[in-house]
Amino acid sequence: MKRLSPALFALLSLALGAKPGEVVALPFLGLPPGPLEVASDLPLLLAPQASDGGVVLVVVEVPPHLPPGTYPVCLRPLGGEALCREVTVEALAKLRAKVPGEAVGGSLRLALRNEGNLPLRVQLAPAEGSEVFFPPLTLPLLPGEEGEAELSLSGFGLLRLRVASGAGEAFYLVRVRPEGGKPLPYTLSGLLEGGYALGTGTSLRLALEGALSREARLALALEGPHPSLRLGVGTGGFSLGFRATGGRGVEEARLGFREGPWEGALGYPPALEVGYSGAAFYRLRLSPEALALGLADGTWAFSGTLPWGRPEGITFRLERYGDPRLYARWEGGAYLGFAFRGWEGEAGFSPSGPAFRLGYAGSEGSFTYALGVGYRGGPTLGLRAGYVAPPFSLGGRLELGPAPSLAPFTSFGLGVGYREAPFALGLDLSSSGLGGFLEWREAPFALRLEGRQEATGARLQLLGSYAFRFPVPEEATLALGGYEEVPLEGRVELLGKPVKGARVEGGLAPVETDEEGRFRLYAPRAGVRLKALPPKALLALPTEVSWKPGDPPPVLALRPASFLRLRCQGGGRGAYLAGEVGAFVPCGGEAFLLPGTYRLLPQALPGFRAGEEEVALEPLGQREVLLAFTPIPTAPLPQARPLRVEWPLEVAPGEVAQVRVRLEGGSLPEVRFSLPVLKERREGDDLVLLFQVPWEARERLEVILWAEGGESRAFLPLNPGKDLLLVRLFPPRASLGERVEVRVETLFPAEEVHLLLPTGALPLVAEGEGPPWVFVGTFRVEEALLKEARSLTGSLRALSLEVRARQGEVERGKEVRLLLR
Amino acid sequence: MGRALALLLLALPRALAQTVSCDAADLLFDFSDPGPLQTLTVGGESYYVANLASYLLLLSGTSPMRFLPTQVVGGSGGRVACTLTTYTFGGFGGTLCGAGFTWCFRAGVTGSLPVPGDWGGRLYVLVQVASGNATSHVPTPTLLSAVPDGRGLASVGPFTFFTPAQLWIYYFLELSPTDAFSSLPTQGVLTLSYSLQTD
Repeated sequence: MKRLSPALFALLSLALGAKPGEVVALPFLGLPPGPLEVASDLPLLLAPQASDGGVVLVVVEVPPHLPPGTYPVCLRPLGGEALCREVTVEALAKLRAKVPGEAVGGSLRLALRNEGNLPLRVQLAPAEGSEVFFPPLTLPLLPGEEGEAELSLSGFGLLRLRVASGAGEAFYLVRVRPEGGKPLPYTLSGLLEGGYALGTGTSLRLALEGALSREARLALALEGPHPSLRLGVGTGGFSLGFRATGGRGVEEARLGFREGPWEGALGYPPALEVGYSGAAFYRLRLSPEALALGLADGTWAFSGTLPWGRPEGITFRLERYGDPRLYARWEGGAYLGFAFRGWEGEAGFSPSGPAFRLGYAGSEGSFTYALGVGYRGGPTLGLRAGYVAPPFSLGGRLELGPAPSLAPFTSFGLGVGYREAPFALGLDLSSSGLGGFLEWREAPFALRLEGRQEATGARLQLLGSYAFRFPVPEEATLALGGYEEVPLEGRVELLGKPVKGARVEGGLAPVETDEEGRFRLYAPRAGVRLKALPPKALLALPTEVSWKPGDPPPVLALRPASFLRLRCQGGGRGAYLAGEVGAFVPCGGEAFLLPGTYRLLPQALPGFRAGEEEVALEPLGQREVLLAFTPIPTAPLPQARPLRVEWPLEVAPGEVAQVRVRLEGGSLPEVRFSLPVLKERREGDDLVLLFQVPWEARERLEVILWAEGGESRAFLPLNPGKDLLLVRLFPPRASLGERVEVRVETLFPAEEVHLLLPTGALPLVAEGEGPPWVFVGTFRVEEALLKEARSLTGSLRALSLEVRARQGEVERGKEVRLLLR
Repeated sequence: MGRALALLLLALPRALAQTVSCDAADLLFDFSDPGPLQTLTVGGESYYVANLASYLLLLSGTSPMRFLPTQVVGGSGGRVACTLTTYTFGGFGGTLCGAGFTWCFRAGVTGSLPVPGDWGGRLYVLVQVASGNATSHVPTPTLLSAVPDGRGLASVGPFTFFTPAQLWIYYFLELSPTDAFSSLPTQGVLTLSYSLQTD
């Protein structure tokens, strides 16, 4: 260690920079051998106990919220002088905001957390373009602190939320919906503007635009001081608009029509426009002055204009987008151009002679630049550069080249900008003059002062605007064509009587019924399936109905229910109910059931029994049933012992299932079962019986097991959809010539299993004894198979195969897909 | 009809308001969508629409592929169509985008895509000028985060109120067969917002 160079020693002695949350290793040199004491302002992860005379490492952790600064870490040998190193903790401004994507009603809650080490002042405000507003809010947050903000919203639609702090600026989009399942109201956007310009005086404008319903739109503008009106209305595919000025009447008018991808318009001054917007966009405009054509399809774009009175004034432009971009244009002269990875160039013949330019543009972080050279009656050179360091921006431009007189000419410009909401300021000095603006913008208000000094004179104007939005009342929207959803009113009743407080689902949002059992919601135009849920404490079961436009108002009749409470005396678990529905009710439990007559099958604890009962449940009736479980007399049946049976939770028709039996504390029981037993085996103290569910079984299967300890009876729920075949292909994706292994497992004792290939059936060979019953086979991917495969992608094909398994007269199949390369 | 009506008000001189009207705000990329393989030609190249079939195709190859959204919610043809109306000069600034008196058209994208790393490093964009007085700064598919001048997509206007510019914006998501995904097939939604700025 003593051989370390002085340079390295100096390097190791420097203060170390660290970010909050980082772990830093600090090497100490030159400590004499012996025990050490550590003194540190930072938490230690690795603290040395002693030095061996070489490099001693101390590892410290910088807590995530530790304020920026310099923190010493010192080691002191016993009786010696402390040696210190410093860790400089950098400043870190970091904010985490949890903003929901959707809000209902007039408030929005969001959570904020300062995850840096600097105190933050978090500003929340609606951003430009927001359809929903709220009073701006400022929230101070200390490092590590969590805060919650509740915004009081006005309006519905899309909220553009701006969250600004020392950690930067972030924007969030939140959809705000009205309460009560109402659709988003249509809104009219308005803008009121006033201005004063030196020389031209005052001006005032009011504009209002937006949709009134799914079919009607309105656009209106009033202007002063010279009275002028612009009005546009639209309904269905038609639209009509005009501009009228006081004293001069209608100056411009337009009648438009749109149907699917087609659109057309007749205009005044006379013009005919036709457009088609499908996979490509075509447009044609015909007027007494000119014919204009256009096309765009994602790769190609063409536009051209032919003035009737001046055919030599024809212009066109043909472009190919992509890599590279190419174009040809005839606009006074003929030009060819390209753009490729930052480079762009153009060459051609202009009326004043050949011209060409070549440029390169790019950016490095906040610095953007563009350089260009060319020839336009003489050599040209252009430089543009911009640098952005928020809130400031700086830009410059310089152009050298021949002026129209071909004399050397230079133009330059220098602009500076400052933008820190709500203010913006810009100054621009160029060879043509000096201009500037000052703007204040705090939605919904904006104010701008701008001026320009040029050789032709000075211009100064002050502009102010106020933007507003108001929702179109529901009644007005319904009268003018309605929403995308239709309002739907209906009733919920029980045995002919209205039900208050029932919840109806299926519309835009769940709603509740009123005193008269009525509800109102908005449903899709294609129709809806409505579900009514009874209020709590009403003895009724949910119901569903379908409704489509044209049907009478839906009436949802809840099904009356009955209520049963089971009380037990003695050692009972509960009882199975068999009737309209099947259910298990534990002792002390309750059940809502369809009215009807039910058989109660008592489930006793070991050593107890109870007799079966029948109970009739009236609609809306409440019954309490007392089951008396009495101890099973032991004297006449000294051999009786508790019986424990584990039934399967669910079975499928045909499935081989198992039931586990244990006679507590005893030897293997002698048992009888209500179905044929396939196999019987002992597992420890348990006896496991395998039985096959009859293929024809439906809904539930009643099974009974008798043993010395008593009998056990169960209703096993049946799941006909359960898959009884499991097929595996290995490999799952194969190539021509490759062998594929098929492995099929069946949950029933299949007698034979085949794989149906397009070339014929392949019998599979049984392997071992079930369950599960396993069948295996292999085949080779041949040309004939490849031909039958369906193309999935360019190089990937899929071959559909079917496996069929048979037991007696019953056959079950399953389709699988083999991917072929 | 909305677009037709917007044309009616083209000559509305608004000193402080420019209009951006796009037909779609959400891009859905759903690689579990069961639809058939679909391709669209953009910028002279064929791109697959994101779904399960095209995802399987990616897995059967070895090189990265770019996918168009499964659905551009509200739009058609795998693109977002925007109509831009400017009523005044842009001015004051703009090195590449919004230079001179033009306005700069920029896009903001929020949302999530459960792909490894930052989806911002996988989202490509191409802007075609379908009609009107505008210049695309991304005529070739370009990584959105690498578009120069603060993601300036196109320069528009000024004064496009007689013939509003119509831009077609295509977005592509790049995936590689070697990407390690936390859950597959993956899906997510990106929400777009647009603005016209002076610089």
